[in-house]
Amino acid sequence: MAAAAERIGGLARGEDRSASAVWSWLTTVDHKRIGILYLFSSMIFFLFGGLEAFLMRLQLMRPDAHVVSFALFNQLFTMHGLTMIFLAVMPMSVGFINYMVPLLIGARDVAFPRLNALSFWLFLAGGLVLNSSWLLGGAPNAGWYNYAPINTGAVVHGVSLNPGSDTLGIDFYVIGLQLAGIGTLLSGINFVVTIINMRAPGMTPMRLPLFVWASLITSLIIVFAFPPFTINLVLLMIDRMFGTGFFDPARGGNALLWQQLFWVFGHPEVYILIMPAFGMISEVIPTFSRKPLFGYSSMVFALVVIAFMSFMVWSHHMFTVGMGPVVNSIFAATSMAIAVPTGVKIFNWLATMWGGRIRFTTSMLYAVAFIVCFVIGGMSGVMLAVPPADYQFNDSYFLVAHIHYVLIGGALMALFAAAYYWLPKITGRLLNERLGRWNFWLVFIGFNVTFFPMHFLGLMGMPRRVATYPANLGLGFWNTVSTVGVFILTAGIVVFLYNLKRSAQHGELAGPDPWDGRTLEWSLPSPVPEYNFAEIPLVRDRDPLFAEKVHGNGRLVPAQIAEAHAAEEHASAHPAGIHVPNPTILPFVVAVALTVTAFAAIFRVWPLAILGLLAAFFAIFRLMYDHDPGHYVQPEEGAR
Amino acid sequence: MSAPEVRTLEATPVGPYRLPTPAENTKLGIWVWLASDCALFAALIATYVSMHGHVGHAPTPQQLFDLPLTATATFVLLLSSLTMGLGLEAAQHGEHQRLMRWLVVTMILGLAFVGLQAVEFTTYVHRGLTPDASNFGASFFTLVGFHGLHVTFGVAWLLSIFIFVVRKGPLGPRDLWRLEAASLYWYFVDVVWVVIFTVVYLLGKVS
Amino acid sequence: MGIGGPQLHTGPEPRPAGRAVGTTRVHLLVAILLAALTIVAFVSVGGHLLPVGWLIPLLLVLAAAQVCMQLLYYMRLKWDRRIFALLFGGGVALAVLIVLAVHAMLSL
Repeated sequence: MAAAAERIGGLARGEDRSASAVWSWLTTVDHKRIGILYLFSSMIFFLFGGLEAFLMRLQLMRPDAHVVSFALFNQLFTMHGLTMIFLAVMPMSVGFINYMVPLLIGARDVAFPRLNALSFWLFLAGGLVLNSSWLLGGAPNAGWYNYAPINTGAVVHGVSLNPGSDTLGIDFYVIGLQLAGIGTLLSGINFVVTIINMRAPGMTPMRLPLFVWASLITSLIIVFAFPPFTINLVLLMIDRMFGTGFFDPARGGNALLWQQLFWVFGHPEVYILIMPAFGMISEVIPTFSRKPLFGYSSMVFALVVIAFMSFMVWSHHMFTVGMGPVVNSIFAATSMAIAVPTGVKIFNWLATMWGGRIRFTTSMLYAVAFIVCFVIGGMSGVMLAVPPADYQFNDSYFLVAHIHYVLIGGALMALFAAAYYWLPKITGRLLNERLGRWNFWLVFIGFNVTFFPMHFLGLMGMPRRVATYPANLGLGFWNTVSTVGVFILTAGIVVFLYNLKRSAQHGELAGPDPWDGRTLEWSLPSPVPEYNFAEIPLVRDRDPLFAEKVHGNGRLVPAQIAEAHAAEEHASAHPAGIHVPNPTILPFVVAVALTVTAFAAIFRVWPLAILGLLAAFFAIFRLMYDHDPGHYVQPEEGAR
Repeated sequence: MSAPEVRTLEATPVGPYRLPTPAENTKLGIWVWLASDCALFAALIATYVSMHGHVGHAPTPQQLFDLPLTATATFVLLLSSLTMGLGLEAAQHGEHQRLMRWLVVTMILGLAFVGLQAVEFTTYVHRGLTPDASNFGASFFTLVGFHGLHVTFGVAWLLSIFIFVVRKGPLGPRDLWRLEAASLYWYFVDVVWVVIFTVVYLLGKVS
Repeated sequence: MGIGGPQLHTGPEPRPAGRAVGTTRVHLLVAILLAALTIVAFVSVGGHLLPVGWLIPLLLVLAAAQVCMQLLYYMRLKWDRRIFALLFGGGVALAVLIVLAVHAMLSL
């Protein structure tokens, strides 16, 4: 995988492709290369998740079909959800955050470069452990939210609630997600510190690009939302491996505890998916409307309010478990209230476009499609927030339509917009706009044809997660339409992949500033050199580069460097060049050791698990105390 | 759109730039991590609070909890916070020997706490409270054991600093943040224990 | 120091790591107070000195006082950057919310 990532990255950076190239990817601590690793591996996981969805839609195309077995279908919808949420959309956002945030705030790296590498390798380890379940006895099969008690293998009146959970599938869920979760948590901590501490002079909080604000808020949500989920996983692990009964009602446990702790995490999680999308759209729309973002402060305020509210609404996922009218009403009110700050954002984006000189590049097309689809998803969300109506919608295809309008129509459209906008910065070559248009229209039409009929299916009463349905229910037509949509959507994705491949080889050279950009990253060469900024810039406006173009000479002004520290810590003034950290294999070693622990725990080989854990701690302490002298890079002539 | 008015961009509104030091970054990182650890313990405490009534046929909290033992453990941990602070202060004054002494004392107190917990756990198991005996047992051992793991990790962390100093010489001002970071974690573990001994032991004995 | 702003790391000199703000005197004083509060808590439970209705709020107040003292003086929140307190306060607020809400909803 790393070798394949090297191909793209190597092309991007024009480096030699010797045998040591693989080693350089394993040991890199450069936030840009780690960003590329995130983008590449999440793309692979995305294709896996897409394949799972494709198989499910083939199965559901006609009534009473037998394309896949029912047991396999359960594993498919579980792994599809897990893969898309934890291994595709979230790390894809993290990839852009990794690559772009230091550039956008005028920094040379993140606060903890080696921790950053560790975060990536743990995420990858978690994803691989989770997916290895396909080959090692069957994937998890209890849905992405894995409700108790079907996740515990409990037996009620002599009947197993979920015969599949006797296998190890759910153990892969428990262990794999813990691994990936630690990685995500560490990267959340890293970005909170980076954004608070590492900003260039003049980059005040109210001058941060909105994508950086979104990254900060996302990181904070990660930091606060992942722990309850981790505990949930730990409790389930203890239940399954040591015979306790936290979630087993027959033994005095409480199945609802899982639901509570899951959704305390689960609702903020969907905001972790959508917040970076908000940020990306807020960068793309002003650039291609040639106007500053409308209502900047209200956008920041809305982000903060949405993040806060995201912790106040979790029980709307549980309206039908019988918490009573008072609880349901409270959570209905808070859930609907989120529509207010979200509406503020929508109107601000529209107002940004209003009167602007809009250029409909592929990126901008995706940004506009985002607004359309996300509004549809948001509206069905408010419908779901009405408890009496939710009793009808709950666990039906209406919900499937809603979540896909928010996560594909929302998050994925924004990721496509970001890809067309920022990949030229990463690879140095523009993506083809003609192919981009094919890609956009196929994805947009395919997506709507696939998922809009699901609203009807849900209202007609089709429950989600059924492997098939009888012919006489009249569900066949819209299901067939939906599957036809998947073929169109898939064609769109294939065009995108072809565009990526073709542009990486023959694409038009992007140059530093292909879009006439506003923010700091467009002042740098594409691809960006290892040290990012030859001179740390002084930020003099909210749209720093644009302000210099309009009011200055078009180039950023270098910041004044504190003499006392210039030589030692900030070596911009150093005669040998710019100080950058050395690569290290240790983060990879930690991830490998923890992967060993993970498999040992899944197969109950406890001595090996403890050995792996000790090895990991040993490597972590080595990482903490090995002094990294770093090395010096001579900036290129004329690089700014 | 009318042409933007031409204005003068501010010259240098801010002082000279320097990179944040490792101390500044690490301390902020540690605080963020501790904030997230709060949520971790909150989920465990919520689990305990909602489960501790399910005693089944196993012994109840009132029958098991031994206040003198818990009080001893509490004072041991409290004392270790004090010695940690004294060690940190010694390091700030560059008093190498005194730092090393306090580090050793702190580690011994930490281990004593974990030892007392081991004694407590074995006693409970002998009296019939195994993790799978009742949900009170399961949630009790998980919550308190999780805190014990935190203490154990803290001891390992202090030990790593001890070894670092032994190998690389006295902690200079440039490396002081390593000790500061560890001390924040150590204090935090004591803070959590205050919540645990109140919610689990004292309130468990009362109600 | 404030939450952010560029002045955060544009000062001429970084604050020396571990500025000696917690002196021995403060450490000892806080330790004695913490010990006293702990003794009050354990004795009031062990000695059945108060009716349960009074005891529970008392224990919670004692615990809160101890937690605050440790955070402010031992962990130096009183002197350190305000954002530490802000972030950690967020964590504590969320923690309390989780405990109360989950407990309330599970005991419905």
